Amino acid sequence: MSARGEAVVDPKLANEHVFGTFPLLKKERFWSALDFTWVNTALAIATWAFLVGGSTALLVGFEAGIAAMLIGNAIGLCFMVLASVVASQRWGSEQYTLLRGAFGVVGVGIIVFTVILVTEMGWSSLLAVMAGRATSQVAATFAGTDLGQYGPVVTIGGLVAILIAWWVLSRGPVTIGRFNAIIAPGLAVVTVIMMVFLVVNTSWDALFTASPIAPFDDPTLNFMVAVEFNVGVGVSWYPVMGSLARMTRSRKAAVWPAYGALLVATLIAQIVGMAAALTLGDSDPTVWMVPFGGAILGAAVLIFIAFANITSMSSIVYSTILAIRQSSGGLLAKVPWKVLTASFFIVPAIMTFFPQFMYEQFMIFVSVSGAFLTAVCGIAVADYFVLRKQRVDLRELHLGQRGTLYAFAGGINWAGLIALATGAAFYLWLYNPITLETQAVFSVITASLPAAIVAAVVYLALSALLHRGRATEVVR
Amino acid sequence: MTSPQQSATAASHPTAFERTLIAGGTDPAVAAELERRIQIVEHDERDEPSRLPMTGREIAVYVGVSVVAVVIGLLVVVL
Repeated sequence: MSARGEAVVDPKLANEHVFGTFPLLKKERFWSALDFTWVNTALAIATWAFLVGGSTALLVGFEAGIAAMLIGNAIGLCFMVLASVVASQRWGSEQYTLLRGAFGVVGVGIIVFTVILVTEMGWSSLLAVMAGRATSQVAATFAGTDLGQYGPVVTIGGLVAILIAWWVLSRGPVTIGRFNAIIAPGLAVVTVIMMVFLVVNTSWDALFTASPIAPFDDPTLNFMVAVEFNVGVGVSWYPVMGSLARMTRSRKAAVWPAYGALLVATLIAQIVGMAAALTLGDSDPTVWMVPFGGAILGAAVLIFIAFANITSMSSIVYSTILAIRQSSGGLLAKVPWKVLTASFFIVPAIMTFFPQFMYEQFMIFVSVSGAFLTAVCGIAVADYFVLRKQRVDLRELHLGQRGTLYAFAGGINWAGLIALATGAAFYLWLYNPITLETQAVFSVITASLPAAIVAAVVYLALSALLHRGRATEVVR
Repeated sequence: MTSPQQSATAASHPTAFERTLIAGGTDPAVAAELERRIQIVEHDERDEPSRLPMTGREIAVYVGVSVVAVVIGLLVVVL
């Protein structure tokens, strides 16, 4: 596989293209702003957005929910895009190679094989289960029987979705982009259709007067937890965005579509999910679409949603596999692309046998992974914009431990890893999503943004302390 | 366009960067291709708008838009 416009004859080079080893050149960066907007729209309007909207409705009503989702996503996306999209777009390199200065070669590997891998396996599992639920609902409609929300057909549907996602993935990023160009506009239409059905079958009045489903006693705390949850959602795009942005033609084609499309598309889908949860008690369209839309239209919409989940899965797994391959230190260099991608799907395939668990732990999963991703984002922004002043040395990045600029004892930049641990710990101190304990100050500053700032400050301070006098560029 | 011939030619006169990569186990063709691409990025495409750093103004506008979005959200709650 190669990017369009660059015919690579040598199979070894073609293989490295697949794994994103090479910085992309101008003629290979073929995504326009519109292309990238569709890619991001397709990512954002997967059914996870409906679930996020539904989870927000646990805490706040409709108007406050829209505000929380807007504020949370705006904040989360703001520093996520700065941390991942800007550098990858400029240098044409995937973001994990660019992180070597902040964490070291081994340090990046540690992050990728823990935070990133667990996060992306979690999201992939969720998408597979959602696709399975859509499949199950369609099958139940035509069979005229109740197959259950978490029955065996959900597992079968989830496994089939994984199989199709693996096939799409094996075709490479160009195929993923083509699928997204078809799926994304359709999803936008489908989401509007769902909102219309919701309003027709309930009412605006019911929507605006609906109470939150399971709030805490403190309304301010409810709102801030809802904001925080949505910040976590915005940040959760970090693992995939850099690898996608490197294929855009210009910074304008990368930054604004990443921020704008994810923000707008996410909000629209989340609002539908929240409206459904507030009025019907369930955010998942696989539950209410057929009863409201009728067998034919309802099933058509669900089939489309199932496919949308598959393309989302392909996109996020593509970036994750690039990261795994680049961070493995040559261990996975000989493993074929198809085998590597298939290996990734083993855990999500197992998780399809526990669909209820994935749904029930969704909010905790987003928040805990957000605790670590916000810290990574804070460090990435501090490293690229402040410490290195947007200058990186591509040769040194690829030399890693064999070079000078990004070589650290044992391959670990402890300034980065300690800052990461500090940022995540600070987040979990401010707001523990498992026990739901919060500090008083959380109701004013939330957790993600302060955690990112703490991680950035600690990183810069430790860099000054541990790497005093260390050059940030090579003079040639 | 990359061809085996080009790679072979480049590999026959490896740079210090390529030699270091090759010594570390990287395939010579891959090392040569990396060097070729980095040279293009650093020289031929150096002044391309897409290769320039993000300006302070761009960053300010970008962050400003985010702040406006947050303010709109707050207004929805307050009003």
